[in-house]
Amino acid sequence: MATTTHTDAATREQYLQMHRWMCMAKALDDRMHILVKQGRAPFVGSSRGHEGIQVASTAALGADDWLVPHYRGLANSIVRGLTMKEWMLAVFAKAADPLSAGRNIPGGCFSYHALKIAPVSQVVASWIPKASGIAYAAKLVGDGSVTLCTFGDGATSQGDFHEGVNFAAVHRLPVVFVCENNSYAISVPIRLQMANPDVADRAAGYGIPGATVDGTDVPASYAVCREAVDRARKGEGPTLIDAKVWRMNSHTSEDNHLKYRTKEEIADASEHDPIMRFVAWLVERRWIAAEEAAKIQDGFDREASDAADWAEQQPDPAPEDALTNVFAAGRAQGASV
Amino acid sequence: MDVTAEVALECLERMVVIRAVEEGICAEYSNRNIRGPVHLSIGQEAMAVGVLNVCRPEDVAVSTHRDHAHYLAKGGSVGAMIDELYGLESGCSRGYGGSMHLFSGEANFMGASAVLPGSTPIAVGLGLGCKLDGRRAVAVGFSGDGASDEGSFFEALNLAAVLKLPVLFVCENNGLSTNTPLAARQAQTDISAKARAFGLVAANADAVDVFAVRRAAAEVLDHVRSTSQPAVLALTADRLCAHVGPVSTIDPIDTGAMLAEAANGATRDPIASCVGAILRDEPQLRGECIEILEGVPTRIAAEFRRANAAFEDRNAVAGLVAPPPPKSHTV
Repeated sequence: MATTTHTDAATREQYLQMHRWMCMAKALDDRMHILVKQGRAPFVGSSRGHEGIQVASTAALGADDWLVPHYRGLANSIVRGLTMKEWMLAVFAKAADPLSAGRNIPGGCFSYHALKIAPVSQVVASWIPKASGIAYAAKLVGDGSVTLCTFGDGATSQGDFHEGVNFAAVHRLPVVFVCENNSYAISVPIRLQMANPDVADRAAGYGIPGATVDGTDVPASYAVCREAVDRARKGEGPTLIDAKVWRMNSHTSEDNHLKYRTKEEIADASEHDPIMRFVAWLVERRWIAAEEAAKIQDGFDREASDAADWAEQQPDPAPEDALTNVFAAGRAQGASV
Repeated sequence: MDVTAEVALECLERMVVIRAVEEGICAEYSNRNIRGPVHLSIGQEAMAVGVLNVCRPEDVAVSTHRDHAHYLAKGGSVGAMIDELYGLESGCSRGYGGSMHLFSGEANFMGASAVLPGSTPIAVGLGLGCKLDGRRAVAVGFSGDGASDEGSFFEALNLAAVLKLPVLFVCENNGLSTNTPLAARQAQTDISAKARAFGLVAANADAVDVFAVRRAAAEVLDHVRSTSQPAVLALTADRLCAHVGPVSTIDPIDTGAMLAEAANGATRDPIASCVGAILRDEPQLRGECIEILEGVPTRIAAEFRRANAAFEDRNAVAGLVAPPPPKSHTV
């Protein structure tokens, strides 16, 4: 695995910001699990274990770039500017939810046009050709934007993955494909999913560069993603990145991973917490003190709890608004199509 | 040549059968007794013949819209195929399938799918069947380079690799998906490079030379059969005809012209190339070659006359189908 923790592709301040984003994602994630157990929230699709590559890849983008995430993309969305209150509005399906106006489950389907987060789908891999389409439009318009497309290892078994990557490759589109490879497609382990577990090897079949990185290693992940984004922006086409991560929780709150993972394996996954690893790296550099890092996490944990309590009290969507937000502005509401 | 005289002549004869049947289609099509789209294999005969010549009878094959060569090379009946083109009950698919849906249970030719790349997932299913049955048979899935643009082509490769199935995927690269060149569709134009990424064994061969195809196919088939692991054979050749329709850019087989072309080392006609290789290494087989080049088209022409007569008799008796319009209305 091409991993180095000695690369400094970002500045100290940027790395500290990445750490805060990761803590925010963890705080929301942990709070959602509590809310589900309390019966206050319906569902959580956890991004625990994925925060390193998610923050690193999204931090490599500029404000005018597009994010086409998978449904586990909480940390990606936070980097784009999503606030804790906004996320919690979505968790409680409130009228003011900016992700889907209370229509969809967070960690399921959402979008945020102002933050250039394209609609997330739960139909695995279906967003990969869309990412290529967005990048194709950017190329035709010449707006210089780059599209980041993320997905899991399960998505690579879908035909849509191949069609999307192939199209981007032949047209040299400004898109970066990041496989957050947690080695599980829900409950199917990677050995039953593909004969060659290294997704980046497939890049050779598309005539594009591929890179393998430890997705829990933030500096290494950022360096790889930064290079891929720069290549895309220079018109040199897409890159396929295989970021190895460990899924720390069940697939979602609807799943119990003890049914198909041993306790030893789950304990091993918890040893690969990207936040712990990144904090250790920052502490080693004396860029942060361990106590300071813990304080930051505590602060976000409280903020997530407060955001939940606040969001829960906000108004629900009104029944008479059920048909709004279905069509783009400009089309008369209730008009026949 | 690295084959016996018997095998060499067998390959030549099978390719000439395929060519003659398709030339028969070209000749008969304007009479409007054969209907529906036809996708000719002219120029690509060595792919089907080279691969299926080293397959065993119990191996199963599945094909695409361009299936004439595969059906015939697998051992499908010539008469039943021609009857099928005429929509006769005696056709290999009882007249319901036509050109794109040939089938022969006896020859283990398990049909064809015109929906790209239907043949590749079907080959995976056939391979799973071979494995579950405990037969030592291999499933051979033919597809074109256009199929390799499609997601289910990769789904098939991945699944065959992870389930360790005895499948040989033969990718017939004629460089065109209808009329879009491969380089306009894929940044990596070597199909075998895509297969290797999945952990599959892959080989390439220039399919103008039937014996080179046969050699490459024997090697990968041996791997598939002995390890029960899939492989890809990427073959390249020119499609010497239009994507669809009875339009060939080369003349019907003429023995003199074929012998002259056989001397051209740069020929892209696999039949001329085969004749050339035989005459170079085994000049005493000249008589047998001429006998094939002259005899086969004559026999095939007689099959068309028989089927055409049966078609017209059936229509006259049943009165079910309108008689063909006057010749001036042909398209």
